[in-house]
Amino acid sequence: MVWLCLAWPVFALESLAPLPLSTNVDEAKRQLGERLFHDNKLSAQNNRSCASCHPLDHAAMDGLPRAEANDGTHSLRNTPSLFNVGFNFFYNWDGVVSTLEAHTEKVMLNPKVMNTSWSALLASLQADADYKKAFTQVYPTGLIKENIVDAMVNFERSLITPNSRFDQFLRGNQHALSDSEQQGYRLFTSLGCAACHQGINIGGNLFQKFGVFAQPKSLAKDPGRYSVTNNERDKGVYRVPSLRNVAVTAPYFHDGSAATLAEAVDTMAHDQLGRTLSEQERNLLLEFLTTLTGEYQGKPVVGGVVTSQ
Amino acid sequence: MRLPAYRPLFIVAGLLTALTYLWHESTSPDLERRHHLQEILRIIELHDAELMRDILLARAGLLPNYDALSKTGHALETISQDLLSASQSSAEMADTPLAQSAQQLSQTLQAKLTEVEYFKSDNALLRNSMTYFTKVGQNLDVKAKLPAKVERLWQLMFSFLETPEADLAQAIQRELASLEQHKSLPPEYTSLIAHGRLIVDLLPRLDVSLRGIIQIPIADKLAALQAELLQYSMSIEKRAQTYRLMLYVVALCLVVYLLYQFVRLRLSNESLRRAHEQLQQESNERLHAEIALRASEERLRSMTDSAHEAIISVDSLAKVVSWNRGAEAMFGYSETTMLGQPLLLLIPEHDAYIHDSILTRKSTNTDAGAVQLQGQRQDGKGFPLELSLSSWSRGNDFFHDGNYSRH
Repeated sequence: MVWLCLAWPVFALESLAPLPLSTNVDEAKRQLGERLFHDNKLSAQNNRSCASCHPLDHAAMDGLPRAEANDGTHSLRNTPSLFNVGFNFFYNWDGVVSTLEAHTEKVMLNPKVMNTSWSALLASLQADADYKKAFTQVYPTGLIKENIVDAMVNFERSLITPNSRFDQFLRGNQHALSDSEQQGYRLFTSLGCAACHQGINIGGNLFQKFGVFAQPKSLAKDPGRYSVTNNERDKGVYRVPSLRNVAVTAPYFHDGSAATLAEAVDTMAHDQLGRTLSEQERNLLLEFLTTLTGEYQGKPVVGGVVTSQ
Repeated sequence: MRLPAYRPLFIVAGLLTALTYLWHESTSPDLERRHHLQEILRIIELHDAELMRDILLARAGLLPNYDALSKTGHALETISQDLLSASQSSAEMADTPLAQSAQQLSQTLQAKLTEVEYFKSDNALLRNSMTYFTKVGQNLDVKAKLPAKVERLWQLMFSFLETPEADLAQAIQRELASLEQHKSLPPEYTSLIAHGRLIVDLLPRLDVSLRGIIQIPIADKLAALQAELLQYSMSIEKRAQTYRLMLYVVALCLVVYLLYQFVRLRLSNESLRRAHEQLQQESNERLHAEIALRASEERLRSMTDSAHEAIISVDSLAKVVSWNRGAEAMFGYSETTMLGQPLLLLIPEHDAYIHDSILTRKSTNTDAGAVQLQGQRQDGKGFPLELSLSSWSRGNDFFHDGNYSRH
């Protein structure tokens, strides 16, 4: 007599989801947005564009611990990668706005970032016959504030990095991840990383206190989400960042205090999960995290510090 | 004289203006906006139900990730902004109980979304700790020298997860504290104690927060706004109804007035036609009389012209009105010279006679018989003449005819 035992895998609720392979943004608007994105006219001193801090060939972030303010005297928070920004539900480290439109406008008007004003920006773009013509062709209402934001948002929504090896794995290709990477993935969920880093963007849809079980080493005087809500419990609370392309977007955390991914993983395990990782566990996790690197326009995303112009 | 003639025109123009105004006021106002608001309320209701479903799923650990919940929250936030702008976009709606209700609903929604955000954060932590606790329980390290009652910790914890009561929480805290005292505790137990404390602390709070979210009176606010919307719709519809009634009355007035003007026109047309007929008749008669008169005058003229005697007609002022060829031959004056000239020119010495017989004998139409007088020609020579006088009247005019013959 033969007992045939079939061990059906228990279908755990998949808390992570793959990115779509394409977006359906309007191509003409996207192109217009792309042009604006790279145009220095968007800053008051004509000295920086969106691409200055979000260079698309450098993982759409500057690689610096903290971004430099327009006036050079302030240090802002760490610049997050702009890739897959359309899948976030909150923007900025403190989630001060919840739409990409509001966020785009906020960054442009922020005196420490682009420092422009609508009157100045509109005047400078109106002076350019090419822009005027392009806007009139794409938008019936022509070159106005709402359309500038819309074009940029269309471009930002097009900044997706699909087809990472992990996404291929999620889509059913069991060979996309090596054994150790798959172990790393299982560890990622069993350790509890996936409690917060979940969803299509592996983060970006939740707020969490930075330091649940222990205080992280550097907590510069930053009130976190408290500055938005004025609620005591939001002190030191930040948006859970997306882990997509995490291996190429060093340094880490809102203040750039973790220079390497290994350091960030250790801090997260210790301070957020109340755990101490073994060498092997950390390496498996790191291996898994590198599989989250996707492709922008068919080319793998690469990171690195941007050499200043 | 002019104003009364234009009066009907003014009245009709006035009535038409009133009609236009009333028509404008009687159209159902804000219809599109009211439908839009209605649609917004429906969407809020749906999204709110979706949000509650996902929150309960999340609490039960059955929600795969927070994307759907965040998306619904996001949609509710957007629609709540739409609600605000839709309820305040028209001047009539602003500051009405309707707009206030909309504002209340929007604020309640915002408050709920804020609470949901905290719930999400806490729930993520709690689920993680619960998972960890269960996992360590499944792989109890029997080799490790732990207090004998360590199983009791899990028993207590499972009861606590079922019913988070305060005495259970205290019992767990005691167990955790005694576990902490244990020397050479394996590292996962250090984590276990931390997670256990987090569960004991967070679970009751999370349930309070969940109950709070469930009790946020979105449905009540929705119903209140629905009622206000209905009330508002009814009030403005009533107003429009009144205007419609007035529109009907004014239209009726216009028709009646036009009918009245039509009848008047018909009547005056009739009298005009009659007057015209009468006039025509009169003018025909006059024409006939004129023709007869002409004929008789013509006859008279040919008779007088052919006579060798002078025949002169004068009016009541003794001015010459007709002068025949006989007179021309007798006195030497031509007709054109004499017409309108006083008769005195012909008989200068008999002014008293002229006065008596012509200027005062107004009504005489009898033949006075022939009178012997001294006449005077154009060249100044006098000569005796015999005048026979007759007179007639036509209307108010007196005419005297003189028949002169030379001796």
